[in-house]
Amino acid sequence: MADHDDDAELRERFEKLKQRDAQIAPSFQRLMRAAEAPHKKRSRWAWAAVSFAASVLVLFGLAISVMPRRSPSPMRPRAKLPLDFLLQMPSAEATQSAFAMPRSVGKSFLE
Amino acid sequence: MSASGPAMNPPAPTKAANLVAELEALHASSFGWAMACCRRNADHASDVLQQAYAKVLAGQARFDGRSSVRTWFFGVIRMTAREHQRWAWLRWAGFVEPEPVQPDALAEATQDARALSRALTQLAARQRECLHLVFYEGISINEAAQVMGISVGSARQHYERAKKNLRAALVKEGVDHG
Repeated sequence: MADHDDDAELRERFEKLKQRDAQIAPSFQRLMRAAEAPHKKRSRWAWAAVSFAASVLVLFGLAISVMPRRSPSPMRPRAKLPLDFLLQMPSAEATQSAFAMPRSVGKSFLE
Repeated sequence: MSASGPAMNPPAPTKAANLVAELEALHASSFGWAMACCRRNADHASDVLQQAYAKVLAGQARFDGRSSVRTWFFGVIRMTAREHQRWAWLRWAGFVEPEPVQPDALAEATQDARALSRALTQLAARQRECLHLVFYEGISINEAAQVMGISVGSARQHYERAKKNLRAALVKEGVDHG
């Protein structure tokens, strides 16, 4: 019962809201006229933004195509740094080169 | 060549002129529904309704006679409102001109309507839409479910939750309810 009363009250409130909405609703003819020419609604700022973005892209493309390509730089010798000596270890040559076992040694070992 | 008469053709969809006349008759309800889909913002509702009319005129939204004109057009409005929401940032940035602002419509509203309007904005979209269709439009939950594109069970859940939440929101608004 309380639920029915509640619904009736809500219905009444919504009815008032409906009357209020009817007062502020734009006319059908006005909206239809505007709907027939939707493109007019677009702001000139929108077109300005789109054309600006397009021109930036074109300029970027042009700049890339016109820009001279750099040839690969020739190998330069590495500069000697003041703390390079810290990296120098005794018998560093041994760590920088791979040791290869003579083929004959391996063969005799397997046999 | 063909001798098929009018009786042989399938029932033609509502003619454009008739459709426009029906839309005109529905206009007040359509605006109310657009308000519900736009969180009770009159400017956005007006914009959405205009876009919905534009879709109908351009043939982007076609009435195929599978439901009532109201159910179909309310669906169009709902979809348009969702799209409108997606492009809100463009309006915020000023790239799209907003509709002319209504002269402080809320100020002219009655106290009750204002409180209900504010309370409705506190509800989730589905809940607000469901209550609107049932109490404002006076349609059944089944038809509301059809308009909202959800199952009847889901619409019933939204309806019950919405009533409960609306009661709480009205109390918060200082309206003695129930």
